[in-house]
Amino acid sequence: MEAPTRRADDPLVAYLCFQSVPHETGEAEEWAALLVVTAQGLPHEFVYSGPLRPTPVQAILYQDQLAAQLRLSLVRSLLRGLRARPLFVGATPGSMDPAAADVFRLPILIVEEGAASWLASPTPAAEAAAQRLEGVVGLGEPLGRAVAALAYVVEYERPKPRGEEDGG
Amino acid sequence: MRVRRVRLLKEPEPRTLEAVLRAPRARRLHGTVDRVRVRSVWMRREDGDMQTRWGWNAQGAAEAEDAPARRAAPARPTAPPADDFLAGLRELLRPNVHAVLRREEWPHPLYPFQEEGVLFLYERDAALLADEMGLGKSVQALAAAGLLFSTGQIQEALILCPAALVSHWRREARRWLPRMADVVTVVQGSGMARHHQWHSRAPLRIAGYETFRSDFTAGRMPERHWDLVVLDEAQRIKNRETELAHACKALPRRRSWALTGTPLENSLDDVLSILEWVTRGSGVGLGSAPALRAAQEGLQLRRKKEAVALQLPPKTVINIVLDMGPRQRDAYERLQREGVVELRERGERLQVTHVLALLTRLKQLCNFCPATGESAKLEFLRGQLAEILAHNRQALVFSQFTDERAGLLRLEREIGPEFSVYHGGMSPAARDRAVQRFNDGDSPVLGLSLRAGGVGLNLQRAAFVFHFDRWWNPAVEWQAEDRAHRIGQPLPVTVYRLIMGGTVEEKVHGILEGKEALFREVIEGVPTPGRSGLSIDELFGVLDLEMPPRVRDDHLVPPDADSGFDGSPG
Repeated sequence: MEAPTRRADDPLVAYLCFQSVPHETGEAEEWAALLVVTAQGLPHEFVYSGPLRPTPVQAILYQDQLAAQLRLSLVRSLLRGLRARPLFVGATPGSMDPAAADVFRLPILIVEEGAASWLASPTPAAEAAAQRLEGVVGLGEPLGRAVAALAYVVEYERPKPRGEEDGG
Repeated sequence: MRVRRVRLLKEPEPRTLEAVLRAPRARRLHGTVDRVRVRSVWMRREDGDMQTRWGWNAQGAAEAEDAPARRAAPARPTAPPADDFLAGLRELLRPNVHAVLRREEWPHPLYPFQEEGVLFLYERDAALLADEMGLGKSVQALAAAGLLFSTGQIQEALILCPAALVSHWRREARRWLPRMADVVTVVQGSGMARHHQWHSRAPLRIAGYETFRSDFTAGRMPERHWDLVVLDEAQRIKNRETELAHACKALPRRRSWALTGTPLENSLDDVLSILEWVTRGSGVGLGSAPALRAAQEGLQLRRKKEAVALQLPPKTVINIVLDMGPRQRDAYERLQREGVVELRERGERLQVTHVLALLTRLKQLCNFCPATGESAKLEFLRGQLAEILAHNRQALVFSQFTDERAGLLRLEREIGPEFSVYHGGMSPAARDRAVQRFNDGDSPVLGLSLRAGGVGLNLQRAAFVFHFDRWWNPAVEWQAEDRAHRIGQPLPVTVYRLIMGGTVEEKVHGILEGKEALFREVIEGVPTPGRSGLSIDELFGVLDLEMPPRVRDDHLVPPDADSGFDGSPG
């Protein structure tokens, strides 16, 4: 019995999320993830990257643009790790600045509570995929999964304080 | 900066998953903005191996396979283990079933208790849904299967049910899984046809128990591992020694859902066989009764009408389309064929009464085969009444026929002492006694003629009403149902209309269903029975007859319900 597989013509869409984790040094660590789903909402690929902490030099160089730069780097690395080519990328407002949007070179869908809007005119294929996804799980649901999954891997990856590590 | 990718191309069997991350836990790097380490993990079903590839993916640098991390701190112990980590991650990445449940376009909204039942089934490989009759077990099973199909967790499912209910399940599957309506396959017909139906690619198959048993033992079924098998009326396999029970248990499957309304508290042997099937023989010992009960509690969801009464409408009507057995079908088709030929030979002399007479005989044959006594309706009714009585409930059974060939007196004889009758041919004293016995609980089932029993009686003890055959006019049926569904009725009433598939009953039912929406547009709250029957055109159309012009001129206004369409005394 074969497991369900994605058909070659199933459109894919991606959802981007970030997480900042306070670090003992006072600088926050940045994590990012991309969840790629089919237009039926089935998970296809999940890529995450982190943690990324700026060096003191970078903090001085970028100053108030530091967070944006960190996120931009994370986005670039995620794209390098991504095998699938989605039709659009969904993200929350504020997580997608113009520089990051340019890196994707894809239609960007900003997803908020109960509403979604395109940053720029989408391609017909992207719009069709969005409509299909809306009908199955809703446009915001995969983003919720991506956020939950990123939080899960961050928790898993973060080193535990001494005394809390398994087996030791 | 690391990138980890988890590719979820497929959803493999959890038991075949190999451990993925044997390498030390990923090391944190205090790297520069542009240096990235990529680790990719794929999970593929066909080879069962996990491929793990490490590499650096710095700017301008090529990936190096299996390259160890550079300038890395010593690895810290992993917790939790990698395969648990991936299993947890996979769960989080799966579509949220509540979101899918809310967005599915169900033909009717699911009641909250039904949504609970759907989720109960969806989340379990082994489940026993034991809701009381009338709460929609089949709806919940189909909706849960639909969710599994939608979320890509299953590809092939099999529903096994009593032979008489195969058509009913097919209709319900097409209603509740509209996206799959064209690919629902019923396994029936000749041996060759069934062989093809078993071997064709179809996401959902429906088969009667006897068909399945026969084909399984004859080796007509393919070597196939089913993603989901559903047993309707699962008490059919309560006897572990039967061939059917053995065949059901031998079916390779991942998910096993059993549906039964029959309470299983009283007989441990009945429970054991069903639980053995549900759990695929694992985890159910032959030991003590407490262990068995504990296993049952863990696997079972059971609701009674009282518990969900506030969620249900006061009255629910369920149409059950039944399949005739072969001999009953042969007799029916012969009668129809010969009867229509005779009517056509009448030509201009054809009257409405001739058509009604043939329709009445056909309807009687739908109830009982005169030659063999076979009755798919009786078989269904017996099963339902057994459940009803086991729950200490009471029921009403309406029929337009009272005679011993195809009516209430036949039912009384076939069903036994629990069944009393009430019809216009009885003395007033006898009728009063029948009602009293029912209301006192001495006679849990009361069979009433539609005319005599349809008005003026208070029979609120009945939580279930059966229309053994349908009348021409649904408003008359509503009045009959109101014997049970009225003020003082503590429970929601479930009404079953029994209809023989592929017969004039189904045609008439189709016409009445189309009109029923209009019928319910009442004037000042009062239904208008006189305007809601079949027209003369429709009557002739049921038998594909042309109405002679003279008949059309004689019957410009459809007769009302009291004009005696079928001439039976009621």
